[in-house]
Amino acid sequence: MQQGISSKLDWSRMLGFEQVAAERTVNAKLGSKVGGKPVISAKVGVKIGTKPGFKPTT
Amino acid sequence: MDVTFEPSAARGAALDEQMRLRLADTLDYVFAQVGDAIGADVTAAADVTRRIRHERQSPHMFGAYYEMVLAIEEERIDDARDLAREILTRSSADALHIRAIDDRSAQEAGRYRRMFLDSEIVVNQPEPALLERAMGRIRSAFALLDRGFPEMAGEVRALLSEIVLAAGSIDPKTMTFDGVSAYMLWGAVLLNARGQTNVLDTAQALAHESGHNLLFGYCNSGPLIENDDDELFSSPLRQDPRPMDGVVHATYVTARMHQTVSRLLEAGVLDGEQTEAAEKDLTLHRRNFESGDEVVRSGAKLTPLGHEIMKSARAYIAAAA
Repeated sequence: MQQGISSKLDWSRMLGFEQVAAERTVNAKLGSKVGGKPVISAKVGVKIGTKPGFKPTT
Repeated sequence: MDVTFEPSAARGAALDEQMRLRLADTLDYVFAQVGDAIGADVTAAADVTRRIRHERQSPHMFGAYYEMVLAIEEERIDDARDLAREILTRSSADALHIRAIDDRSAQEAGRYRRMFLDSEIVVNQPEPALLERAMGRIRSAFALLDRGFPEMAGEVRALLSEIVLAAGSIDPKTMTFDGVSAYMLWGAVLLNARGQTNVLDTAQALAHESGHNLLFGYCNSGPLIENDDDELFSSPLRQDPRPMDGVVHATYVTARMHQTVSRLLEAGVLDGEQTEAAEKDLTLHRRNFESGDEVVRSGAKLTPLGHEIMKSARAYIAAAA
């Protein structure tokens, strides 16, 4: 089976993915390593919105 | 690492440099490994990583990097090539910009919407009059901080390269936001142009959102907590249950807001109406901090870094009058 270009990257060496490799997140969950292949489990961003009337937001 | 609770421009600049160096190292690695496949010219790649190491960068340099590696992971090669081209041709940033969400290319506006908030949350371009009022409050808030808490003003300017203004929903049945920070948009914060109505609140919002960026910068050395993301806890600042990481963030930035209000009061730069509001805010922030810290103490699996950071916030609150 042909390997794609993603197989050429060691995701644990890359910015933002060190937390992923440890199955941890820094507010933005990038994914986790499963069987050597990175699985991007969520898209991006911190969800820090609030409902009206709440001040401030986090 | 300096995790003292006292803000400083030097610390903000150091964290920004650390994040840029990490991005540059990562891009050198990615381009060396898959540069041919995504059309990254060797000379252009070396030039951009040199600039990233030495010059301030737009939050979009970071956002484009994350989108590029996500595209590579999903084998969307054409998207990865487009994003690599953007990275290689993007100019460095200069000063802190304050702009509305749509006052930029459609590509950048779309990225901010995708990365800052869930798609169901309304993020509109503010009307001109609303935008002008919000920009005026931000300028006045910086001026207030410059007079009363210049260390905070300096750190906010060092940490942030863009303040993005948008208009949230006014429908009480829908979710809205006051401010948003995103790990993948290093240096950017999104503020609701309807979220703050006076200069003191805006100064606090700047301290609050830049506090999230401060914690993101610290996390370059590792996470703050070891709790599973599926574990949800009560947060002092939100109605919905949050992962512990969000609770730690909320608790920490609440102490930072307390510090900002307290220093502005001590400096004597607030007028009578602001002083009255500030005294109420101090009580609210202390209560919110204590509420959040109780959740952190009972449920957080803090890393050594997370422990040091929370210790600094607790020490500040304990010493504050």
